[in-house]
Amino acid sequence: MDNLCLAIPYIPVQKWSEIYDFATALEEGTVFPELNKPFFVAPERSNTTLSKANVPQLLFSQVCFALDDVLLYLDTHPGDMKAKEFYETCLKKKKDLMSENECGCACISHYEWEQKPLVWEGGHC
Amino acid sequence: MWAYEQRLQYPVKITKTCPKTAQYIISQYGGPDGELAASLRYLSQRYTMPDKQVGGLLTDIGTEELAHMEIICAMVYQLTRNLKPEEAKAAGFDAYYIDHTAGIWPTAAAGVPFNACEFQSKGDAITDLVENMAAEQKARTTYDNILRVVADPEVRDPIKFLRAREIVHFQRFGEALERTKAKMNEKNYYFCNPEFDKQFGKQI
Repeated sequence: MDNLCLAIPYIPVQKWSEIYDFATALEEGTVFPELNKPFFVAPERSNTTLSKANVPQLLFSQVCFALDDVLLYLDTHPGDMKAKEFYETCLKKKKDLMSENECGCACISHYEWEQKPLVWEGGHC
Repeated sequence: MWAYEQRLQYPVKITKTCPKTAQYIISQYGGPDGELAASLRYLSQRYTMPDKQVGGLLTDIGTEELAHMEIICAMVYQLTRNLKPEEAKAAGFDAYYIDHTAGIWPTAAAGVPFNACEFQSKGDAITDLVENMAAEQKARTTYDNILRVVADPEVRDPIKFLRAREIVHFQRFGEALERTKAKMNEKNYYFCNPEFDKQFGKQI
């Protein structure tokens, strides 16, 4: 602490380490276990909503969420090769799901709005 | 340019009408520490950021906040989609109902409409990044407060998810501040405004 200046905040910069699997990351709200800081009145693992989700939709959401979280990490760690590798893996998985999985495809090309529930009606993909 | 993906970042499936809960949750749409203010704050600040990576981070977090706004609005919609006037009256949601029926409109829980004075774009990198760190903490506290008073797990799940995102964003803004400081004079971070006093060049 002796080398720090007065009158300015310091935040330790995160280092790439263990990450959650896709399913746990969406449940916890981050892919990084060291950034998971639950509130004492909410100790239970969230699964009521996710356990009811349709499986192909859920898989697509999990991959997209990991991509969102690692993107922000890369914004502040642009040279981190391990993060970049994970980002590329997620991106490939998203593209694969978009071609194989009807849900992934419908999520991007949407013009038949009447064919299924809207996202705010609970049709989440 | 933005492109819409027809999905929520975290699913919302609320089966029970509850105008009282809707009144709490709507604050995270149009309230002082809500997702709309967050998104506009970051997407406004990014243009003049001296560090390009930080401008990029503001773009990506500002975009994610738009997705959070969509989650919040979906929650308010599902909590009020079968609303009866008597329920609105009993839950203290009647003033909102008179003005907006069951439409979605950005307001704080206490009834103050959304306004741009709820956030700043000050044009100084240190000032704006410290504001953003505070903003993430204020939103986290709002989600903590919601979790204390709402028992329905269908509401708690997405709220817990959104709360977790505030902590991740706080960390990223802290790292953005470290990046910005690294290019400044550590003997006096307040010698000039790195966004405005460009005569000091890269060594500011």
